[in-house]
Amino acid sequence: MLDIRCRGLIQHPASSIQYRFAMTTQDSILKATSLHKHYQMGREDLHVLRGVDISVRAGEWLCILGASGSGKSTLLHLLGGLDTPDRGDVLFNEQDLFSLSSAERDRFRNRHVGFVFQFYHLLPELNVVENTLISAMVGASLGAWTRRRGELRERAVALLDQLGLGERVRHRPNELSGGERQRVAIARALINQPDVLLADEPTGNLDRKTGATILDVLADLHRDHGQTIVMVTHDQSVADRADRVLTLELGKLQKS
Amino acid sequence: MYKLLLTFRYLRRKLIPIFALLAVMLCTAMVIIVISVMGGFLDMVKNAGKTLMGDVSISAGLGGFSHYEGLIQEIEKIPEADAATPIVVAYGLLKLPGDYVKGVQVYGIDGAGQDRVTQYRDTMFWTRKRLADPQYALIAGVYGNTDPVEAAMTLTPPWKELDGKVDAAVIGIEVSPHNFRRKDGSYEFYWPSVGEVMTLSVLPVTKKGGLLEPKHTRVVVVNEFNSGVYDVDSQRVIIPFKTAQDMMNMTESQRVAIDDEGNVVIGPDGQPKIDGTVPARCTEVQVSAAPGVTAEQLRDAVENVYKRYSDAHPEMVSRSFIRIETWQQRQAKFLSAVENEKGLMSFLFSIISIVAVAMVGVIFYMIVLQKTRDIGILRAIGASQPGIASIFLLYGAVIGLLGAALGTALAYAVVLNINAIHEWLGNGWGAFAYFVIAPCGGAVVLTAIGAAHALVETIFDRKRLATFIILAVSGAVLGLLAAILVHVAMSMWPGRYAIIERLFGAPSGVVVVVKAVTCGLVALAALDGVYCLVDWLLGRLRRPAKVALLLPIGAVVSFLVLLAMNLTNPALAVERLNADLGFQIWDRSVYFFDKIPSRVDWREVVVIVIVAVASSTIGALIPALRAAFVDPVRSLRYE
Ligand SMILES: Nc1ncnc2c1ncn2[C@@H]1O[C@H](COP(=O)(O)OP(=O)(O)O)[C@@H](O)[C@H]1O
Ligand SMILES: [Mg+2]
Repeated sequence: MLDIRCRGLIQHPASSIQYRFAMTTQDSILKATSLHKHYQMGREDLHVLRGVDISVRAGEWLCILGASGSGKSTLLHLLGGLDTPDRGDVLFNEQDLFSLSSAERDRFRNRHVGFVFQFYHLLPELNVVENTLISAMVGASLGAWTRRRGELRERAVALLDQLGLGERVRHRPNELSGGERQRVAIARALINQPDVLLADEPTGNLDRKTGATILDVLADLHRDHGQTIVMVTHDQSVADRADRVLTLELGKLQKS
Repeated sequence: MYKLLLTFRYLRRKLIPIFALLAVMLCTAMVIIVISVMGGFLDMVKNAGKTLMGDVSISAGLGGFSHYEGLIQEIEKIPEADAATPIVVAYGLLKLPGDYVKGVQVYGIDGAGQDRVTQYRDTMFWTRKRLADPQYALIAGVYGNTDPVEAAMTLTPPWKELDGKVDAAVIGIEVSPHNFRRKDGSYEFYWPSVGEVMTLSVLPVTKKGGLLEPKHTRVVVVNEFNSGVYDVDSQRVIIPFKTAQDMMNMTESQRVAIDDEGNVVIGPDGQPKIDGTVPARCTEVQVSAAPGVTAEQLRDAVENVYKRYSDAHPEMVSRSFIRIETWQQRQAKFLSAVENEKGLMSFLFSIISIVAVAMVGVIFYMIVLQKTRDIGILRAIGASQPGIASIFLLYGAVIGLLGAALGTALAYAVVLNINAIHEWLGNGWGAFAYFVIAPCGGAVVLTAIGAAHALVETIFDRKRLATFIILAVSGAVLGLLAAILVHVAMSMWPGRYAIIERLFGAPSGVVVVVKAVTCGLVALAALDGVYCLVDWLLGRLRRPAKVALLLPIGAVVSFLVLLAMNLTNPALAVERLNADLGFQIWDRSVYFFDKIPSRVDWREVVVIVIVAVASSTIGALIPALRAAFVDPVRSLRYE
């Protein structure tokens, strides 16, 4: 297994964040078995996921390709513990996410996964560096935050610098272009050094050229730091950048 | 940590919370002002009780009671009592300079004794200090080197040429018609009373209640007193106890024998036959309590003493003629009025706090709805449900704290200047103030309705929220602003807008405004309701902008109703405004005191601030829960 922590641009935040998930030497970091998800649309029942099995290996860049409405986002939300399946389990390092209390699941999201969305989803009231730091703040108590503030801030600025946003740390999201916003969103997802980056159509709202730069960022992360990435897209050319591509069709995953 | 950051960022970036802040601020200010004035009034009543009549009084009718000296000695022996002093109360006529005659209450006291029971000395208007003021140079000249307070204490004329010839008197500051009180509460003396010799006439009453020939005596005014109680200051004349006793035939005297038919028995010397003495009398004994003794305890103790003493002296007036009361009992009329008003006020306050809570609640609910996406983001990065809820609770508490702080400052400013504000309300500008305040109140209510409606609409269509609120608020404010402007114009320059006046009648004041605003609001709410219903029936409720137009329409309706209502009583003229509406809110003779009393009790303020913060937090509670239960997946799905 690749240990991303030892190699990274980011040193692991020392004490305050404690892992209750023991790292194992096993290959699969995130694993889902026979996931089912229904949506109730009035009287109609929408069976979106019909028994999805997936195993994400540590350090790989996995892409899930699927048509719009095929349930990609739904699956990603389940993998990140943001949504609950109707049936099936998600295991993170052998730990069943849905047997955790909701508070523990919140903590899991904060420490072990980083979400990147199609619409960036930055907080408009906060500037770039604050948007980046918000994940760290969410995970830290007031005391821990005051103690580690400087260090975390430095790390955020370094991260933003590396993403080409060194000059924009004091800007607010509405002063940034789409590509820049998405890079801030990536910085936010990375600040807590997650085990898995979950990216939901990260280029979906960008023109091809800007989209390519975002994919370059992901590729760098993957290559240089061994970042595990699960990305979903409907775009074959985007999917081509990943190590491994699975197709989501009729509620099930197929190798492509 | 993120909670603090977001709370303060939300506070800085959004306009809507300002409304919540204003609501909390106004409610806090209102409660503090009223509590301060009420508390001041109660304090003053209590003080008046102390300064004017001691803690407990023993009183009989104007006929008085005898053996008071022995009784006082007995009372002063008990540990509950501090001091006791006799008083003769009578009613008479005082002839002031300019042949002005006034009905007065004559108070015969022993200056030194009185000062031990009440704060007699402190009520004296003329003191050496005041006489040093150059504006009173004339009166200082009258006093010369003498001490005016000393003269009042001994109740003897300080002027040698008058000593022994006339008696001294201390009269209330409002007794003389020539004393004129300025708006700021200071006095102007057109014809100073000090040093004037006046004639005081009384009708003596016999022990059995018969009236005797009027008695006249000449008194020279040696000082004036200002107790702050208008009733007393305008009617009381204080003279030496002995003089009063003498005038009222209450000194010890010989008793004339009366035969069975009621005729005076004539002795052998041709003079009425004397068959004994009638002891001296007074009409009242005032007692002050020893430190730490309540008026009630003192009354019970005095009651016992009286019982023992009158049992030993059966010739004293019957117990049923005597009233032994605490000052609270004597002031019951005012105290119960204040208590009543306090009850009414508490009721009002509970409504005000509910309004504040509701305002904060509605406004926060809107904020939460606006912020659903942000909440989803925070959940996605690991914020917990309690964490999300606490952002909004903290936000509510901060709004409450800020609002309460501003409200306290506002209230303090108002309370400090309450008398000036009252005077200001009493003149022409008061009308202006009313015309601004009343419609603004209406506008606030309209805004609240707009906000509530916006909330309902938002549940169906989130994106138009901002437009909607802006339309709603500005519509309501504009409509009412128009009403205000026309009315102010008319009230400030009556006659100049003769046509408008002819058409609509002159504004008759706050009553009409309030009625009109209420009618407008009802009409508005009804219209709004009907519109929503129709829209709902047609299955297309997503028309917030269109619905928002109803608010300006409502405002116009409110304006028209306002004008129409003026049409119904065109006879009312602007000049009658003050008379009609009683801008003189504080009527001196009604409210007993010459000034609006007020005092800020910081303990009360602290409680009110805490309640304000709590209300605001409670108001934020439901929105906070709503925020906690936002489904992150759903809120993140679309942009
Ligand atoms: N809350 C919901 N209620 C009803 N249907 C939903 C809900 N969320 C998603 N869906 C439906 O589920 C399907 C899958 O959605 P999604 O996972 O967003 O697909 P994708 O991301 O692949 O476009 C879509 O048809 C969508 O309309
Ligand atoms: Mg999607």
